[in-house]
Amino acid sequence: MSQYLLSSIVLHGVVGCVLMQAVSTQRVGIQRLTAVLMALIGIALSSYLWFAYVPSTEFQFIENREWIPSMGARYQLGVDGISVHLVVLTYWVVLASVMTACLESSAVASSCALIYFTQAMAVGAFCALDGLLFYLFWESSLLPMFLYIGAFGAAKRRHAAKKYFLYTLLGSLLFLLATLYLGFQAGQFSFSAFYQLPLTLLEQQLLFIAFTAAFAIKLPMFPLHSWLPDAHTQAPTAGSMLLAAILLKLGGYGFLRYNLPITPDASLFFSPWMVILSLIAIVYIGCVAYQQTDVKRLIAYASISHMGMVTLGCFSLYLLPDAVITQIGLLGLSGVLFHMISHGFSSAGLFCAFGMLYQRVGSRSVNDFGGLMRVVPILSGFFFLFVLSNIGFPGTGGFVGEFLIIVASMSAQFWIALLAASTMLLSAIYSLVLVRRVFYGKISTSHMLALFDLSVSERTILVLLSVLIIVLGCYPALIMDKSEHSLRALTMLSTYSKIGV
Amino acid sequence: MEMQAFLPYTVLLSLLLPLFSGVSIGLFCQREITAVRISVGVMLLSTVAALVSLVLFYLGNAAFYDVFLFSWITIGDFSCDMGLWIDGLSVVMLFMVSLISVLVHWYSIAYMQDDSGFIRFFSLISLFTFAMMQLVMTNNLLGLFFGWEGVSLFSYLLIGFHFAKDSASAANLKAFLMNRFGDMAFCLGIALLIVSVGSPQYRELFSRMPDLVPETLLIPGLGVVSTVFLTGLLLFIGAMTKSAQMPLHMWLPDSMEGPTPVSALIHAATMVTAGVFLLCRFADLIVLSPILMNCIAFVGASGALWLGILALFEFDIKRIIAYSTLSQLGYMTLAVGVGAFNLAIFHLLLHAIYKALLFLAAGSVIHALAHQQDIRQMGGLWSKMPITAICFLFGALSLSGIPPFSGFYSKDLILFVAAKQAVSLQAGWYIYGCALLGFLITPLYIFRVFWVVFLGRPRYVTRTPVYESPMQIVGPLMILGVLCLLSGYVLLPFFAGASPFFQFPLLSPALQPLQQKVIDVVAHGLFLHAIFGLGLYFALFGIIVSWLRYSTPHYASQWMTTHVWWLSWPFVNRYGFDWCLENIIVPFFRVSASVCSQYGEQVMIDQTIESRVAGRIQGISHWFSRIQTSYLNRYFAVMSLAIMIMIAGSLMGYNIV
Amino acid sequence: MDWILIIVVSVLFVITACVGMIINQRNLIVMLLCAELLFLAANLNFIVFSRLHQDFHGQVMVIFVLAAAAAESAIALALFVLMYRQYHSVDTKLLSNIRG
Repeated sequence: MSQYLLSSIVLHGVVGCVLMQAVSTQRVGIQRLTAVLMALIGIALSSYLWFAYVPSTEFQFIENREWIPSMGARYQLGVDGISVHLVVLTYWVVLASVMTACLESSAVASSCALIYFTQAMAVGAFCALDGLLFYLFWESSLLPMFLYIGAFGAAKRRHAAKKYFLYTLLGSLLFLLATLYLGFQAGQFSFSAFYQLPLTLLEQQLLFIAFTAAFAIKLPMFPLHSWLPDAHTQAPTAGSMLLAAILLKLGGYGFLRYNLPITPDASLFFSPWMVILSLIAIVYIGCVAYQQTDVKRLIAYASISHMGMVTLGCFSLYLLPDAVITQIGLLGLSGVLFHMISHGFSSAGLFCAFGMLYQRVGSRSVNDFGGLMRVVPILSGFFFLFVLSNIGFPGTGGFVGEFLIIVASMSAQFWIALLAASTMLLSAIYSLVLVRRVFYGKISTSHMLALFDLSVSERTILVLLSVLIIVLGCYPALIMDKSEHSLRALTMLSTYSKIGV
Repeated sequence: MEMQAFLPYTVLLSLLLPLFSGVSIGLFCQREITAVRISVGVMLLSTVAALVSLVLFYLGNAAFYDVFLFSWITIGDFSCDMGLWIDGLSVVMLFMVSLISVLVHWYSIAYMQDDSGFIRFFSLISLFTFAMMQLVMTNNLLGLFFGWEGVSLFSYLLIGFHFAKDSASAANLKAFLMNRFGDMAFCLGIALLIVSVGSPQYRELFSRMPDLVPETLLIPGLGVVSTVFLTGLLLFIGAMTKSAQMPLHMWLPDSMEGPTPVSALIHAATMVTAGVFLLCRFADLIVLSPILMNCIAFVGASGALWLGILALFEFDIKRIIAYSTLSQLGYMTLAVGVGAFNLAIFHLLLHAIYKALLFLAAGSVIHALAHQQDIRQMGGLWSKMPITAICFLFGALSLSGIPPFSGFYSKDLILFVAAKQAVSLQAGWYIYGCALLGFLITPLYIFRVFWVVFLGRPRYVTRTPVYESPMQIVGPLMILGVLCLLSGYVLLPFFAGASPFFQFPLLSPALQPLQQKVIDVVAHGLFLHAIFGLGLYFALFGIIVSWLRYSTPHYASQWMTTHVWWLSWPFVNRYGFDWCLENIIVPFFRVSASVCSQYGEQVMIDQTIESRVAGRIQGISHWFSRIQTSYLNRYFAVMSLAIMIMIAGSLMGYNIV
Repeated sequence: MDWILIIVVSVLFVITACVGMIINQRNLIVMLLCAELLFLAANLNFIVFSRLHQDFHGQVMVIFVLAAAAAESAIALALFVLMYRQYHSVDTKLLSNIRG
């Protein structure tokens, strides 16, 4: 059973896609039922994976088969403490997305088919242990999202989808070159071969730039982030949820798997630049988010700011004093993993809750809202909870990751920690000003009074996400216990110099 | 079986009951009467449990108990375990919080009965009580931060309780954001402590505190800074914001937008005292840095005087009492800065009682006059609402520090320690002077309220006749009034006696003599000391002056503002803090945000990078597409030319074909 | 017999065809004629060299080339007829739809 678990997990998405297309001619009720059933099966699979995963430094559930013998690429799948949590995150967010798509979309079958395909590719990328296989899944996850935004999005969807696709592809091409170079140098494409491959400093630096190009665009990092607000504003709700919660994490995962362990010396060399870019992302994007009048754009900028915290946590590892680098570095990377997961749930929740509001009101601009707490109190409550997680309020998932990253950066330098902690204030400013404009105050137009509060199915989705956020915030040991060993191994790899410094 | 074994359970019961009631009322309750029954009943149980815990702790002989509940996070060497830290400070605070909370719950039954958000209100104040208790009882810094932000959140939700009012939503935003700024500093302080000591648990922190003294931190640009000073400073900035000390106090007067029970519970007794609680909890850390102590005393004393003066220029009854709270918080901070942590907590507890009394009495008046809050529209209520008036009088006398009411004991002792330490502190005489003048100002403003509201001719206009508030409102007032009378005398030996209720471990030797002097004074009789001191006379003088000035019909004459406007101008404008916030800080942020957004996003990234790159690529592809001329003969010519070149090349020996 | 002369003739044919292709601006039929000339030149070459090397393979090749040339000119003329039906002329300038 454990031999085929990961392949079946990846295949589950493909099967889901095919199945949804097969039922696309049936009644809408049957389509919804199939979609939700497939998602629940996926939850069962991933829960089994999570419970059966034993904390250790090695990869588990490994599958190793022949794929392209002439190049040395094998079909290798496996999970460790980092990827198992990202896989579980994917499945829960897909469940929420699928339910949202069932409720909101006009073409349920096609939407859910695309969602399942994205899920398959994302999970494949998280589980892949072979460089070429990882690249295959990485690239393939672009296609369904491109189609989803381009076909089912808002008014300017074509431009947004095109921009998203071309921008990400550009980075991925450099990534492909780097992967091929590494593969031919090492003779095989598996991650363990990459980690052990000795590389000179110049090689490492060039590889680092190539990797960063891909991951920084995907994550997104500061100067290369402009595709994200467009993609999010034009995407349908379920697409935004997937994009923010899962696909952005592919970039963070890439940093953890490629940049840190394969090119540690180049990471050390470039770390001041990466930290500066992350801090700019945190502060500058926090300011930009305040100016937005389009709510989805604001949430998109909030995501960029949080991903800035993620890269800060990754690269402040290299600025720590030598005595504490393993211990505090471990804290920093734990914060990175936790922040990625909790941000997945909280941004999915924000987009979902706002999507429900958008469906009722029909506009994304803040000026069209106002005084909604009186009309839709339950929706306001859920939205406020997700906002709390976004600003890093203790008790919700958003706090733990941010706090650990602040601790790690305090050990590096005081100013870095100060600027990182400024996210607490900046995110509170733009989020609460948004809450004030949307929910407090007087009702702007009379037809707002006729809005319906949440239905049972909508409530289920939001309760699901809220419970996950609160559980993560109150008991982070759930994630930390399982991932500690793998993160420690990663910290060791990242700080072990390849050129003997 | 030893009784102390029950202690963790009673504390846990007291802690979790408000959480249970708040969550269940908030999520499931549909009828108002159920909400009342559950919340008041549960809160009463919680108070009883807190009292039992207090008694059990006092009867036991341990200085503290560290109870482990569950492991919150463990990463390598860093582990944070959630649990309870039961010592004298925390059980006393627990009992105070639960007592005030249950009285406010009882009070709100009648006060909020016309409000549509009745159930939501009870849920929120129960949850707030839980957050405050969590703050007080937890045994690690992260748990304290949980409670810290929790009270901030519930304060936000309660200040903005009437969400349709623009002023309420502006006020709660201001409160939350200012508190968030303080939380930022506090979070940095916690991070620094974790980095220096290695664990956020109190147990480890207190035991390793002396090791921190020689450590320094290198901050590029500022040089080498002592870790103890920096951590204490960051913690103090957090405490300063939460307890509304001088430069960061602007949120508290605006937070009076919330309903009166909220003001009584949150902004008098509990949330604002969390800052002082933090400073006392980390007394070990703060005493290690004398510069910091000096700063704390200076800030506290300044707040005590100058914020009190502002109360004289306000006309909203709740705002006057809010400024009074600010002033008294200054006294508590002053006591902390001088080193008398016991006295700070003593003042905190007594202040909670009489300030809650004052707020609730004000609420009683407001409720009876159909939500009229301007004192110029009140008057002559003594005959109509005698019980409220007497309770307010008790509270006012207590606040002014007149024996035998409770306020006298703590205020007099604080003045005493301020005098004793004045020689050894920088600007010590300024600190003492502020404290002393505060003794004059305090009765001035509070008795101004009393004379104007309760005596004189009635100036109000209401549709229904005014009568005494119902039992649910007056009951808590009476209880608090009795406590005002008794609490000072009863609690005195615990805080300033020979065997104080709690020892602050590791108190620096420099402060021991101070503690001894306080004990001596108390042993010799405080009344006697007061007669020979200055404080009592200043207070009595204040009452007499306010009687002369404000009980006449010219109470509201703006003599000062018209004749000596340049003297009153800084006070009327509240020293310009609000102005600074609205006209300098907020626009600065807005301008930088719009610069970032317009210049940064639109110009720099969209236009420069994207349009230029995309344009350049389009230009290149346009240039290349000119090869497609569509002239067949030209295609054919090029093809044949190429073939000829290839043949010629292969004939000449190049390996083309 | 001086077979070289025939080679020279074939080269002349090639040059004529290329020049004709380059000079011809407009007429499709002339283009076809030049292409046919090229085929002819290639055929001549094959014949001469098969005679010179006493190898019949060259002549076999000529048959193939003749067949291919015939098929190609048939298709080309069919396309020209279609084009004439559309545009009533055989001007190359009319075929500029794929101009980039």
